[in-house]
Amino acid sequence: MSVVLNYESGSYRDRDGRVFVDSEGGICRALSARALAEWNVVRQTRFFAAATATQRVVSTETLLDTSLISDEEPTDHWAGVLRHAVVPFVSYPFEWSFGMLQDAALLHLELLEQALGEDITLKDGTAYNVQWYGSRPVFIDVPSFERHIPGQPWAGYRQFCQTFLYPLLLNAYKNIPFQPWLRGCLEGITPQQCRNLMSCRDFFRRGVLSHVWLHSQLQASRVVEEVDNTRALSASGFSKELIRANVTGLQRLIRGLRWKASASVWSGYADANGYTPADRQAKESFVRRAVQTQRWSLVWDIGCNTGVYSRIAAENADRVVAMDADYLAIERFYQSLKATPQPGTATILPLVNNLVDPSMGLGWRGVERKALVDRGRPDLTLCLALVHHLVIGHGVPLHELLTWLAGLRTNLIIEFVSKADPMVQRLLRGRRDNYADYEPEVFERLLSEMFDVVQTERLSSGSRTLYFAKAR
Amino acid sequence: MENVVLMTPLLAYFDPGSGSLVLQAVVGGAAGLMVFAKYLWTTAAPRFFRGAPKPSEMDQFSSHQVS
Repeated sequence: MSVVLNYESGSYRDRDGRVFVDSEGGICRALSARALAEWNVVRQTRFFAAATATQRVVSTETLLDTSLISDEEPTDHWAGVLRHAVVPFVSYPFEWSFGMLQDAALLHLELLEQALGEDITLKDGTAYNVQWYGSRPVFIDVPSFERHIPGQPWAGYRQFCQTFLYPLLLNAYKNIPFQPWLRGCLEGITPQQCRNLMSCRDFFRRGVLSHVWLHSQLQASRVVEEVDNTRALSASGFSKELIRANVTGLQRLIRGLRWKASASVWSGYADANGYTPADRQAKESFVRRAVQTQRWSLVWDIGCNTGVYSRIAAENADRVVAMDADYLAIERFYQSLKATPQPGTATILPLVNNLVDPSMGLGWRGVERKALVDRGRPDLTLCLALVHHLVIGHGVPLHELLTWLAGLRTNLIIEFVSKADPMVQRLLRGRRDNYADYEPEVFERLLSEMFDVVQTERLSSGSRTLYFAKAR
Repeated sequence: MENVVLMTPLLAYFDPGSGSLVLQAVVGGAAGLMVFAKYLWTTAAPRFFRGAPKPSEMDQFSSHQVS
């Protein structure tokens, strides 16, 4: 039987397996005969059973019905099909905070360490192997596990350095956010680039001399390049104990990394935004009332800051994606979710995302890593204390902002802060007030043209108004 | 049989990086340094020292010999 498989655009590199979406929306993976043989070994190991039971590896089943296997292309000859549990919302390492990348790296290493105990290894080491159940990382690339061949080093070590270790070192040692670097190059930061970013002082910091400097030297070495290193290392006595020693060292190094960030612009916003306790309470109860009007499948909280309203939204939603442009705000919210997980079944995924510079389609054909809006459109969007930052702070025309929101076909909880508010006054300081569109009358007219406004409340301070608007 | 296993080439679906493979000996602790020393002796030293394995002996590790 030949059917056309709906291949996932980001899954093409490994010719031993490709992810596709079945007719019911399930996430499946076609495997070559070689990969199927590896899977049949891996799935019977103790570490793998424990990892899937604790959801550190995505739950996976073998489909007995292999009628899905096809020859869509002459080169595709699949021998088996797996079905994976669906992750709530796909995200990428360039959208994670420091702590998220750190925890994803530690999960990767922990799984490799446990796998080696049963003579299984990971054949790669990229950060794109990890997704999230809320604030818990989960390893999704199951066919990455395969039998370890004695004498062989870990093939994924370079990928691990480029997409996990170097971004973390850059953030921890140089206070340079890694997200724009990872977004700029999906392969990550090369050893040479990382070395060039380090100063003399940094070479005395943990991990830099070996994992960065020596790594870049060896990568550039023509002598090393001309040798078949797998054979030469094997013959020199390389064993899996050396991989374990490397993994243990990496775990120690990564656990010890800290991002000593100073207070950023938005992360202190909740404390300094001038709400009276009465206004704060009124705003929370307005959001809660709106959220409780129905069960939501996917909520976006744009400009989530400390995530107070994301948590309220999660009280009556399956999934909440909490986004903020500020790295530190997302880091703090992530750590808060780790410390105090959201009760119930909802998942809250904090992501670094700047609405005026959002994640777009990247990689091969521009679809390997999808744009944010192509990964699931929200049925409810929270847009609280954000409009003035976009319109006045970034110059986005109000009409365009509301048109974009209406185009998402999302219901909306939105806040308008008037020019009389101290926070808006601060934004206007030093700017010519060219924002004639930024007036409550204009906002209300545009909102009611594009949405059905069902609820409005003006906070007692008088400068802030909340709207609950339904999509048309 | 052991030789067959030892000589199995590492076949990744991406470039694992020649230097990245070798570095794993260096970061593998004291035992790794011994492996690294032996690796250097058999691959790089012949270029610089007499008495080290002759080029014909190290041909077995030349990447051009892999079929």
